[in-house]
Amino acid sequence: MTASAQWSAAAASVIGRQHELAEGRCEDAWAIARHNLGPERRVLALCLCDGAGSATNGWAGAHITSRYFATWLGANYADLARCPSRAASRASAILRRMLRRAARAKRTSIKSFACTLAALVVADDDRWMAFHIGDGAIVGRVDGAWIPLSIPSKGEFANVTYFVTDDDAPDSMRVRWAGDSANSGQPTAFALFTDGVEGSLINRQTGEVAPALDYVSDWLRVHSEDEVSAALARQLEEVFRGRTGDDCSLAVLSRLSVETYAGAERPCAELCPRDAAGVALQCAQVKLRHSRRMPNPPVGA
Amino acid sequence: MSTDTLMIRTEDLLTNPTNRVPIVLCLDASGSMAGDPMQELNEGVRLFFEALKSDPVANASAEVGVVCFSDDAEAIVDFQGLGRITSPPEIQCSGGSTNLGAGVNLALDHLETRKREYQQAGVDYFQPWLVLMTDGQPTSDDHLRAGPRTRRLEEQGKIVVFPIGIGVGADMGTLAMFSGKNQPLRLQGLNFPSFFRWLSQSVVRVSQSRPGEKVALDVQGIKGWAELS
Repeated sequence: MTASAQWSAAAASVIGRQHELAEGRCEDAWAIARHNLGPERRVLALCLCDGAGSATNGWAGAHITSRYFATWLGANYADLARCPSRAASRASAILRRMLRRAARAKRTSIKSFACTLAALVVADDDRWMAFHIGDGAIVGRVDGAWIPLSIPSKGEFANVTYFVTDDDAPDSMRVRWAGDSANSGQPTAFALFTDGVEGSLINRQTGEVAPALDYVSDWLRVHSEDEVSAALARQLEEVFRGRTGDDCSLAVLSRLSVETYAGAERPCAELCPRDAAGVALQCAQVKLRHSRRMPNPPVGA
Repeated sequence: MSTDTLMIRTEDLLTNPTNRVPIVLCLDASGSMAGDPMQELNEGVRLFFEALKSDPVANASAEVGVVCFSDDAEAIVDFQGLGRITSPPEIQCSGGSTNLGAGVNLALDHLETRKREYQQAGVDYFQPWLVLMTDGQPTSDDHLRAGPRTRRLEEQGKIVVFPIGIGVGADMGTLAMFSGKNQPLRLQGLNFPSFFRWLSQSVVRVSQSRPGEKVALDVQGIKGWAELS
């Protein structure tokens, strides 16, 4: 594999039937940050979060965390990659600091922003790192076969999972990276998903990954990121949503040749100004796309 | 290029087993339950099964085991999907004593076995529920072992316990030995149907809950069947 690869990413979230019935909102959120740090120094970071149903601001936690972490991850990837064994504690610490600020600004507790997190950063030299707390999963396509890189982490019971706001989040955060002892082979595609689609995409007992991801990752080779994101949203709505009551989110990243990538690139929707906690980000070098925040539910809902 | 063909087929997805909610009913079948109490209890249990079956999510996720106790304990329904239960169990009054502890120990043993089966099969499950109903006082010392065992599990967050007394003869002090979180409640007369309706609604809510979501009991609904001081 050459060092001149490019990566393309698409993501979508749709509200679950139970939230819709309760006139609630989608508590999943995603963000994709493309960092252009100079020639041969391009990095793509994607973060998917699922706000805790039990937390009053879980949905906000998911939005803030996904945008902030995707941006931070891309900007700090080189540093993190130099010492991956410290990545979990660094990432947890920065997330808690950001969420504490957000909580102070909203005069609430950090726990009210509880959400899970699945994130992946990949550089144009194909090196990558994955970060995961809670349920949902991260899978990679190696030599044509999908393998779990980080499986759902739950407590004994079905409605128990782990969140970025937990006191022991640094211990719960699992980090995988290219060449770590648990991985062999170079993925040519990745997929991240929340627990709403987990049951449709990964066998909890065997780790088998659904063939559907073959198609989805290949879409990015011939269609633009925006087109694939729109197609993902349609499929989540039409195919996945009927199989669960939960919000559904799916993100895919595919390795493209430079030629393919040049044709597929689209200008990103917006630059990241400041994250919700008021932490300044290095905007000039970052393009951020993210899930749309749903309007507030009607009063009394 | 058209994106109309970007579709996922259901055949290319996987299907995992539905998350299960195991519930064990541990019911007094001693001599004092003969007559109206047993008739009403059976009616309540019938309504419970019916209500769970009528909810699509609960029907797929609830698994009910039934243990009866008198001189000894017996599992009359082992845990299984509701679809496999064609008619609700008919609890017979054996005319014997009230070996409450033996009933609870057997119920807990069955729950442990079922949880191991879930784990081996890769089936996710919710916190199991133990519903304990009696109208009298224990006639053996088995409850002195079963009580702490149940409380330990409850303290570890591994079980939810509902101790229910039937009639004025129910020993509420003994029932309190089984739960530190849910105080024992006395049924209003023989209002089993209201209790089991409330229970089925509570099961439905749990079966629909998502990770991170804490399901609060319908405290208001308890007034419909319990004597509250």
